[in-house]
Amino acid sequence: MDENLRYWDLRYVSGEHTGIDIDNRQVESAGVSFFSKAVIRALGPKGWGIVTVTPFDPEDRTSLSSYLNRAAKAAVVTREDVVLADAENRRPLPVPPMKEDPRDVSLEEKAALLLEITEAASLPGVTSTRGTYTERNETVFFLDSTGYETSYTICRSGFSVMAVAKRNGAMEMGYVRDHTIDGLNIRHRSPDGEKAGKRAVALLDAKKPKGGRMRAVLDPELGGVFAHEAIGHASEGDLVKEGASVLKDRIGEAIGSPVVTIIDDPTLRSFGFEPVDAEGIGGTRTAIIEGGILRRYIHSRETLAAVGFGDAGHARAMPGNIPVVRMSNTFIAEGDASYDEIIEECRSGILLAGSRGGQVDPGRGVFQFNAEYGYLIEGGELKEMVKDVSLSGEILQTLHSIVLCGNDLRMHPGYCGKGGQSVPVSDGSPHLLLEEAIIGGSGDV
Amino acid sequence: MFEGIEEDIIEYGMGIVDEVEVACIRSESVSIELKKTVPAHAGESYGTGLIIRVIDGGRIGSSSTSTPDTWRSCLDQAIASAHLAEKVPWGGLPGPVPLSGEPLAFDPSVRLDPEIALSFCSDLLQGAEEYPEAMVVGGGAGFSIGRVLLSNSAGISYHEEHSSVSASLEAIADQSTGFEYDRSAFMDIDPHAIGRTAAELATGSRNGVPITTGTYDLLFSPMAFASLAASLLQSALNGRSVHMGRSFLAGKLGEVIASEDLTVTDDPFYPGGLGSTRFDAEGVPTSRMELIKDGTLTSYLYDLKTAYRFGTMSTGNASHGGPGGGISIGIHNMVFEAERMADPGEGECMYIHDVIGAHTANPLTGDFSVEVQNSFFMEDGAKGDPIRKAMLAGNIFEMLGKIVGMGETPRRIGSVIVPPVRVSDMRLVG
Repeated sequence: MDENLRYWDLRYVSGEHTGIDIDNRQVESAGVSFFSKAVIRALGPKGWGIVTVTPFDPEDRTSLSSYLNRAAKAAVVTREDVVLADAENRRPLPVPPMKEDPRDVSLEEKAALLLEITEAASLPGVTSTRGTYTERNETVFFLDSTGYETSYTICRSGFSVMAVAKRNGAMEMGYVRDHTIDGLNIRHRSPDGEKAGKRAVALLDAKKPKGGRMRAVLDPELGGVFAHEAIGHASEGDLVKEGASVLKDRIGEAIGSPVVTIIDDPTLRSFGFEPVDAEGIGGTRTAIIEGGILRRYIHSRETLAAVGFGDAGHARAMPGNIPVVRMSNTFIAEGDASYDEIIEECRSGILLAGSRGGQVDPGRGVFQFNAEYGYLIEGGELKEMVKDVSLSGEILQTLHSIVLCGNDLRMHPGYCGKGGQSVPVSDGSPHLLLEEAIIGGSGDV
Repeated sequence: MFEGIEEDIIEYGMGIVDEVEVACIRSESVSIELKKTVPAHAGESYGTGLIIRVIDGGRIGSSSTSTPDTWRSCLDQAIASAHLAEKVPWGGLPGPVPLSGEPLAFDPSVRLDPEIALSFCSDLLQGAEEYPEAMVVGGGAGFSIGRVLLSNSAGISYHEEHSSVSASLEAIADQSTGFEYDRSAFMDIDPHAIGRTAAELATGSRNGVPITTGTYDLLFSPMAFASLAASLLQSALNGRSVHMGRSFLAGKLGEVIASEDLTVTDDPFYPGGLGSTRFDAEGVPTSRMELIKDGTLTSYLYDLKTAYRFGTMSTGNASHGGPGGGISIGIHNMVFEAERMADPGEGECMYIHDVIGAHTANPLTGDFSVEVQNSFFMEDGAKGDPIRKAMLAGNIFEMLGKIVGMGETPRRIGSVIVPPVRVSDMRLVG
């Protein structure tokens, strides 16, 4: 190995991916594929040299050392003075046991279970259904230049079911998904199919809202997306370090109302769980905002050393990709308001529910996300159903407008994209009441 | 490459199933990533992939692996996968036809040399320096070369090389951000201009002013138009979605679905197109397809399986976009054309450079409400005050009917080719 290297590490991920696609009650495709991907990072006198290899054999130490040499050579042109914070926590968490290991269930049985879910979605008025099942079994092996070595195997699996309803040329979609690290989750899930079918049919009668500034209630799924988009990304140490976050230099400031506490916790048993992060560092529960005050950022070893304030252990990577500072399980902590109190307190406004995803520009401090459906609130009661409604806002203003947090925190699994990588996460929140929100809509109710 | 392996796989597989198809993919790349103005990461990558598809009694199965040595278990999985799939009226894999000519998306002058990537990075930074009030947040440049070999039991053995050249820069001025990038198959991108544009956007978007909620004429940049309209339109044109009852455009063949001067073409031979190719992922020769002609819907997109199933012909639009490298329906180069306007920003309009949240649109109905980014009041083509914050709401399919015209010069955004687009009567929530 090149003696100019200050540090190196290897992250090798191998495993198999199972996918099943059922389209209008027929198995469109079902099968298993294999992957084997490695990333070798070498820290030269200045910055990183990185080699990505597919396939890779971790037993073959000769090829490891030849790739390390390549990485060392590549690092020569870098000019950034990278410093790594000490690797303090090197205790991997055990992967929680699964209730039923999907690997013990045949592809045929999984297809039959998925079919049951999609059939349940075929309610009167529903004209098309689709179900997908995905399962990824991966074994991660990590080794670094200090001789530290760790490995674990984790299975992430889940399904989605979609229903399309049509009437008089109008068409709407209902969609339910669930992903987990707890093992096979497609038994007895027909109610989810039914829910997708019912939603699709109900949306045919929903109106498009006009949009504008109003009071808004977010359900736990959308509240989670809010935590993720409006705060989570802007608290990522790499963005703070590069000057691309509005939360830079604001530690200790009140950036939200006192009812707001936002936490990122990779140790939580939820879809974003990681036994160790992609730098081999044990995860930490990081309270980003406590009682409205910005307290911590989430970090990699490099961004912790450069920025401070917060915890390493938040670096994550897709197989065959470099570690990047990422959220894992992000949530707004519970308050003490009941759901009924929140709706009543809202008086007049809109309830937004379900998520079609969101996006943020952390430098500009502006975020946007879209609900699957919602209800107008009048006189403190839910009224007409609405569709195609979204919310946008400015990070530094919107958190001040949260006036009530419910007592009904729930987490929702999903995937988050950043820098071309997509990683499993979960987001959650109790019901939230926003005093003022900017609602987008193209309709007239 | 692992030449020769495909013959072993086909020979072995043909002892078990009716037909076999093998795709071998190899790629290499180099890249430099900037953090602020400093090269922080220098990367190289080496990748291989093997995709096997089998057809047996009209049942199609596939599997993939990144370890070609283990092709037997991959083939076993492809066969197991076929057993489970629903039977379709399959008419066979295509046989070979002469496909002559140079590769369409490959530039032999692309070299995987970090020094060139480094010089691109310094050009990016020099371009950004023209607007010194903008700080560079990050960016980078990279080159890649890939080779695909496609063989099947009907006698096809095609290979094709691809190259890719890309650069991007992100800048910030106060709380105003700017991002610009370009990607091409050829060494024809201009990093200096990319850097300058990113910094100009960041600088020029500061001190935004509020707008009144209402209905406006908009001028979309190619980037904004492509991110809002292209993927939604592509999935609505997907033959499988159409026949499975999941497309807004189902049953509308021959109908007017857009303003009468809009023409959308899939052109696999578009000069410099990133998606240019002579054959698709199933070995079907590609051809230029008119999808919307003068506002009328003229064709959907098909792969072999969907075409056989619904009694039509493949349009040569199979791609390896499905899970595990399985076949899905894609588009090569999506070219938008409409009446050319000498000044698409004439009169009064809002110039929309980009949007936040395009992927949150309703994929079925095309309804969207997104936040605008780097957008300006515009008068007779001249940018005025930047817009501080606004949500743009509407429906993609309705928007296609509100296209007034397009600018003279198309731009390549990934595999979408589109000029600036003038659209009337769109709602902005301020």
